Amino acid sequence: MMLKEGRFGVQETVCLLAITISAKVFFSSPTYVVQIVGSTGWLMTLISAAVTGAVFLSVYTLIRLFPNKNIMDIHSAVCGKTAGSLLSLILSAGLMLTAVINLREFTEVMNVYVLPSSPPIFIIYMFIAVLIVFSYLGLETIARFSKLMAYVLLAGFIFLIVLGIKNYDINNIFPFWGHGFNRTIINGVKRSSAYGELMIIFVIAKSLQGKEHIKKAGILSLIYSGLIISASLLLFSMTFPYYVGQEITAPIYLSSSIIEYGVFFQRIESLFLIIWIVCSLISITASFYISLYINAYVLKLDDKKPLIIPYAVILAVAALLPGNIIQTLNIVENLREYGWILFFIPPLATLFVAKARRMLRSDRHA
Amino acid sequence: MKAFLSKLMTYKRPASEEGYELLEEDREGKEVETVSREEYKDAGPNENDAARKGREAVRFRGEKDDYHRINENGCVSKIIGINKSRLNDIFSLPQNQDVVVREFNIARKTKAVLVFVDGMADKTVINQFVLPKLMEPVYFTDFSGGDLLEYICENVLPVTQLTKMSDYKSIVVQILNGLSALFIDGCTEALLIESRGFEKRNIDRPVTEQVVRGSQEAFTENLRTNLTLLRRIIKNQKLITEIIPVGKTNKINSAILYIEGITNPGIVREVRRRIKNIDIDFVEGNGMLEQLIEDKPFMIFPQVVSTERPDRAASFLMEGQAVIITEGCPFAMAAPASFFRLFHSSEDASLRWQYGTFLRLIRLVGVVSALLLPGLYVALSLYHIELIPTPLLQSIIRTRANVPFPTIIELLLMEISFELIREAGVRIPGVIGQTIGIIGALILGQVAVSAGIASPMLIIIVAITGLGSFTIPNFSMAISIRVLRYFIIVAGAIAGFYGVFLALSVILALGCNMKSFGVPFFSPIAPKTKANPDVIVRRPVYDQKIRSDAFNAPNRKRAGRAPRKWANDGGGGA
Repeated sequence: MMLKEGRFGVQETVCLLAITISAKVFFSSPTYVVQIVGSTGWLMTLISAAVTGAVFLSVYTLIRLFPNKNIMDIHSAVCGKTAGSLLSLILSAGLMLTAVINLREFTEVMNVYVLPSSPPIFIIYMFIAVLIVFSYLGLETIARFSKLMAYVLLAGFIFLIVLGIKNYDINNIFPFWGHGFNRTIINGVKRSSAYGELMIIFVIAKSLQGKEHIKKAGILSLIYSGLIISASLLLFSMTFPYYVGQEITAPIYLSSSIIEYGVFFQRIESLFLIIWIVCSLISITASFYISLYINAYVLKLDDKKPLIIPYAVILAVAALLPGNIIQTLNIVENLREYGWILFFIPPLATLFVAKARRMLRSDRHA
Repeated sequence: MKAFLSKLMTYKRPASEEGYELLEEDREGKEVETVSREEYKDAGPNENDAARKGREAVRFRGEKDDYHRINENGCVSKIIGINKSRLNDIFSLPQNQDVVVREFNIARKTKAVLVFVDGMADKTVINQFVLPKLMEPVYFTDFSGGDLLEYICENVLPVTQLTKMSDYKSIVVQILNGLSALFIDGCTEALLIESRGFEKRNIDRPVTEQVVRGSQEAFTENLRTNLTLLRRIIKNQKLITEIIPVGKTNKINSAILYIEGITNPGIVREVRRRIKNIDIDFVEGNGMLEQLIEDKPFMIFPQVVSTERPDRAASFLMEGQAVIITEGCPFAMAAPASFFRLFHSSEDASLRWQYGTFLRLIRLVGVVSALLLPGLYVALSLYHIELIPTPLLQSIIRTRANVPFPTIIELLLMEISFELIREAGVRIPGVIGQTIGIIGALILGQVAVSAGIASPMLIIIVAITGLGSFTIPNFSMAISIRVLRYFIIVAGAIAGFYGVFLALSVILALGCNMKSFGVPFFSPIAPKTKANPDVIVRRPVYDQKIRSDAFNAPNRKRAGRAPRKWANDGGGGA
């Protein structure tokens, strides 16, 4: 019996990946972006997306060289079983770390803004219970759920943008180059791991029907997530001047809380909770599940279900490790800056080895 | 305990979870595919000989139960005495007083036995057109030897349908269905005479699916009548009826209907396979059959669409679904089902598209209210007070001041009371039931507020929730929403909106995981498939040109390129 993840189409994959990538915009990331590049966060994230796009297209050549194989198979085929497994496990570690950090960040934001009287452990345990249910249902279900909720999330996001019009001030996006053009470019490249979850598509390559679908889904996911993140950062920059924006923990959430249309229509941020909660649920579950899937695949386990609860316990415990919100945010920033090592290096190293081997082989034949 | 611990501590490889999936086929992409008749037949070991003998013929399963004995030596004997004693044995005569075995002589010469079930057969047919004709020698003056049975068929009995059969297994089932069996001395076959004529209810108005505009006919308990009602709507030679007896002991007839060339052969084979493989003594009707053939019995959502309306069942057939009708039940069920289809009503199609769309949106609001409103109220009043505008919050606080219960208890009390009133209203017959529903709700609400047990705001919430659940056209779906509401209420009480949205996510994910006869429950939205523009918003009828891709209908085309040709031909007089 082989591990099976069902089948899903381009639209489900795009929704799954776009939501998984974009969810981080609802938490502390925009604040840090404003701290490092000022008002050009919206441009910086597009540069990050472009860098990730370049990595994606490079790694996609591997999929073309090895059709009907996922990235774990390709790692093993190119680098040998041991080194290949190690590279796959690095990718798995990156995803697990992302899940842990996103869960903790989500918990902190919920604790600060929504459930101030509840202990973080209560928020985490409730989340983990639902994550376990989702994991048991499998990736096909998670992808379908993403597709189903995408309409609600998109409608909510547009609603949020439109309702916030009163608070936008175009002057806030100046100085246009923020803290400097070169700084924007450098940070854009450094923080490209914000889109690192795009590598999930190579893990689930077998569930998509053909390599053309992989390319289409990957590019569309990147475009949609880039637009969502960039639009969010732009609106955030227009709502708060950059010197105010760098003090806010969850800026998009705060943007919703300052929406006010008369006495009756105000403090509606709780209504937008559905966006944060569902996005975080999809994002964290997808990262967790794919990490688990890679591990089960590398260890050649027939069935991954017995691993779900132990891994979920590890996730919950790891999420509780940071002592406070400051520590959590520091880890988030380190992950954003150095995450590319975990997400991009394994497939790029494999590509390099594959190309080198090919060149050697062609030299020998010549 | 030991077994439990062992199960907990050890790993057992799960059985393959891959259920039936309706997959896309090689012909995918064509609007109209050619499907051969052979594709609708069973493949492999489920095929039996009877299934090949024409689609309109009644078919039977190869059984291994009480009739095993008959199968061993199950042919009609030439000697009438042996046949009679075998019939006595099979029908437990003379204890069984429903079965009539009438012995007589054909043309005052040849011994014969006529067997029928009292009450199931029409005695007028037997007394006026069967027995007198057979007993009177004048009808046999031309008979000059040879096959007596053939002579009777051709010259004596003026009955529409006569079938010769030789195996007891088939003969017994037909007798139980109301036919009369004629055994003649010296013949190795029995003659089955169409004499069905049992009491049945007339066609009536629908009770649970009433519409303002549209047909006012409903199914009855009689299978033949129901099949006729459908054939009256779909006058097409490709509408196929297969009848399969279910229930090892009660052998109730269930009919699978589908349109060759429109319904996917895979769906038909799967429905047939599931019904044929039911191994249970007693099947009461459609409701029980539904539970025996559904994909996930532990899932709360219904996995087939039930209807009591022939026009709706016909629309299911035209959409590429298979319809199952069971004897003794005035409901038909269609499979596969999808979430969105459970919110459609037959009136939607009869009304102009703007009205139909409006009614659907109202229904959608009803569903959201029925599922989420009480949970959101609890979450709002316990965790997110800042969302409530100050004047409204003051009003709520004032009205709640005298209520001694916490919000969650107050809400659960009122919800349960409302459920009691509704259940009482349904169980008490006729007008009294409706009166109890209205008066009970009014009085209970009023008194609860006066007594300080519930706040007026809560009564409004419960009332809107109740109204919302009444807007759901499918009864099973309405019950599932009513049950899930309590899950949402508890989640809202535990963690506010956080709990509500997590609980809602679990419910939707379970729905996403569900398949009905291989078709994902949330199709055509998740997964996205091509669909007729009739999922939530209805486009004009002439724009609805294709059948939903989710059912993989071989013929996806519903209309031509210009369904309203008259609008394009530039005519119009003058």
